[in-house]
Amino acid sequence: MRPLVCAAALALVLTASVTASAEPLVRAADLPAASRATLTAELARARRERSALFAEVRKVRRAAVEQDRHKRGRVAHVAPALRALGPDALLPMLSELFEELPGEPAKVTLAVRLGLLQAVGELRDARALPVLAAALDRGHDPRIARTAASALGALGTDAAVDALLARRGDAVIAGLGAARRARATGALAAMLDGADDATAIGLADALGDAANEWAWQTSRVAASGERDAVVGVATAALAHAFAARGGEARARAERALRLAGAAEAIPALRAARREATDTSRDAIDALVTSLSRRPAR
Amino acid sequence: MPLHPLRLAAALTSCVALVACGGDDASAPPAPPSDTSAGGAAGSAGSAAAVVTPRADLRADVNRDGKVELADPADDADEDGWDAKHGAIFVANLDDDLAACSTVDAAGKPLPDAELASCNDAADEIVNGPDDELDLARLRVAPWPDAPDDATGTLELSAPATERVRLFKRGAAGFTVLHPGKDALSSAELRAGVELGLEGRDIVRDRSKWDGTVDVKLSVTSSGGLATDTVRLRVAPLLFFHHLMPAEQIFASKVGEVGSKVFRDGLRDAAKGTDVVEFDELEVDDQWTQDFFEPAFMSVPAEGGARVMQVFVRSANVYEPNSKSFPLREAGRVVFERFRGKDRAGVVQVDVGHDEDADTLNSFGNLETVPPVPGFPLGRVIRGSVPSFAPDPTFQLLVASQGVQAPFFVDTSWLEVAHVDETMSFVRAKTPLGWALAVNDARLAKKLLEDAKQAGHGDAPMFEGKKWYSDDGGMIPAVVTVSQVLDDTSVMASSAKAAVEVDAQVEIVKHETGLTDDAIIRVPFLHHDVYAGASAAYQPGMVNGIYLADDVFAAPDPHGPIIDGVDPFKAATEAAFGAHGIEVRWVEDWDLYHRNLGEVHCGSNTRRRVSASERWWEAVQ
Repeated sequence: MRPLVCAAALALVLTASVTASAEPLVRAADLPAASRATLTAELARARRERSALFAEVRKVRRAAVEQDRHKRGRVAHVAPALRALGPDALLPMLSELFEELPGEPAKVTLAVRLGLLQAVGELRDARALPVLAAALDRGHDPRIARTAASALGALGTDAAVDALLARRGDAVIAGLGAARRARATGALAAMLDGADDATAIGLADALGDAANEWAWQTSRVAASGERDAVVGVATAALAHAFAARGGEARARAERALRLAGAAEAIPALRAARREATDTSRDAIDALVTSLSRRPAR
Repeated sequence: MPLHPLRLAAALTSCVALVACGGDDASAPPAPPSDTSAGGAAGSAGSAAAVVTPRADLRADVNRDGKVELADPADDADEDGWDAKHGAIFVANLDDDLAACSTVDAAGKPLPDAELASCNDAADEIVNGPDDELDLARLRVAPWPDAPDDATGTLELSAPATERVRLFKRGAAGFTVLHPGKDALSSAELRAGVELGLEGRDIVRDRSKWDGTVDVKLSVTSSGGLATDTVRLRVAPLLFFHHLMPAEQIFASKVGEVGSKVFRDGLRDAAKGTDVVEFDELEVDDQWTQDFFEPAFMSVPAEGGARVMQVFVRSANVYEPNSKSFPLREAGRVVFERFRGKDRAGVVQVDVGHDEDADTLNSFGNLETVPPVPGFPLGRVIRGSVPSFAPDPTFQLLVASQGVQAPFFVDTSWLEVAHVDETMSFVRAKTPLGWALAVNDARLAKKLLEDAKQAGHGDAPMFEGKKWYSDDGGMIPAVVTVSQVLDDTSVMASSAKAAVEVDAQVEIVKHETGLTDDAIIRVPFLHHDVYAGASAAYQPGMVNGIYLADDVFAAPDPHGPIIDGVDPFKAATEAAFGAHGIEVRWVEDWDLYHRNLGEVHCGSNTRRRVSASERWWEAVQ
């Protein structure tokens, strides 16, 4: 094989995509130089060793045109096919994020990007970090931004948390929740204290994701060893928000607490009750009763 | 700002197509034969014998027995009022009894969306044949045999109904239009009595502009003075079928793919032995038959029960917002091109400028009808809607303005497709309400998998033989084991959220209907994220099925693990429905439906039978 030539060719692809008439989601120039070099090398190697997977990913992408024609709802669901290709499809999928196919309808491109980001996130492979961070920065569509942020968070690494904490916005909040790491959760809890109600809704959702009981039952999430820290901080912040807020913010805090499960949520609510107003105490009591009756698991 | 053609059409329809409503209540108390009479000579008993007090006596089917009887005082008493116990009713004459409406222009090209919808029997001043006559509510001017030669009668319609109803008068040539305030009734007609017909030119679309009522006022003048009589009528509301009404006709799109035939064959098999008499295959390139139209009905009292006009409603889906002529979802044209006809009306209501991001909510998979509950004998409409993510506001207003099936809303914003049919359905059951709610239960799904794993079947495959989309015909295997699913963070996290969100939906249904826990059928399936924050059924969503008969529910085959020869997901679902005497029949929908985020209900539609007991007029709010 001729690795040098292949690497150069791939670099050319990345560069060429920058000059395409339609903008790709991620451009090579968006990546830090070191990451760009590493990724280019890895893509070159992957193309040599697993060229069939690149073809498979492209087939899924091309099938999205037909899939879009038959979709119900807003976007075609591309992720399952990509996910089913397995972890070795990571680099072919990352490669597609740099590509813009001539003639591909915009709504298909959106579906493909969302599917790629979703599937990449589910692989939880740290090599995706620079690409996901770049996608988050360039994701003007809020769905793209949120899915990129959530995929970044799902990597679950310290570097991914750092990358999210270095950024701002609703999508980043969602990403921090998907990280399910203590530092990320602590940051969300700190933001919730004093946030306006609109922001509090997004923070409550993110804290609910962080504390999601069923997610913690899966091996990849549990491997961090931070379950107690994450869930404890999240439920305490949510219980406080439930006691202190009203309207939609309280409703979202309630749902997030339900996601955490009764065993975690009830003690947190009882703790929050001690500082709550009489009215809030009634609401807390009602929620505790409800959680006791219908545990999440 | 220029008015969009479709908005313009809706506005014109509202102004032109409704004929007989009234808003004010200025009628005088009934005093047969006339409400009021006045005149210098009229009351002067003992004066010249030639002077006769005028008489005005207008009758309608006030007692709702389907007849207008001059000898029946119940058709006269309190005729100027309208409530659940009495008051005459008319129908919006939006069908096309002679099948005269064209769907193409002179060059054979499809008519633009707005123009297509504008044609119906109420669009002109002609009674279109004997069938059309049946769509006219009858009124009768009682004979006044002693009417003098100088007696004349006039008819007035109350505002704002004047532009929403139309009056006809029967003569030797049949019914001809009568222009209120212009066309007079002669003395000869007053002596003989006159039969009138009244048609609605539209349904109620915005109750704040027209509440559906019209006061028809007869004024009779002569040298003896003036007499008046007023009758109030109300237009029949547009009503949606609920699941306790027997299915008569089912629909599915005939899409040119293998998956379509498999699905239609399965649906046809599932309907065998039920009272479904017609399976209508629609030649449209849109397999979401549930979404692009909704069968509905209007009814008025008739001898022996009710006279029903079927209504087919085109969805308010805007697929091409920049197109002036064809902004709407194309498949919805079947409402006018295929369904509109004799005793079948077509209706559309849409603001083309509505929130594009929320357009999915306008599909009729996101409009279901909860079966009857106390205070709502025809049930209540349920839709997915939250303030920041809501269906077309003009269509919402139309539904609420009918005043019978008061809509309420649940949060579906966490779902990618965001339709209420993804998580719930309704079936007949021996419960206090007479029905049960079938609802997604992700907890039960997880437990079934955990039980299987614990019993040593963690390696059992699910989705065996099924494929995901690829460019070469779907060659990516979907197969996955029980243990893999339980350890899939995305599926588990998404399913936990689905469990919590469905709980919130159920709480709303319970609050709004009085539903109790023992009337809930739990249907197990998991969810997964389509992208961050938007989920869909991971396994074929078995609650998303079609209720074909009191004892038959057709659901998608879940393709669960086979353990000791049994799919536990099928078994659990069959047991849950079976407890209410309902058989579950399995329909294959993976390829064309499940993979595209829909299931059996999404791919089908149902027209149901209206029984004589469905008397909306006794249930108006």
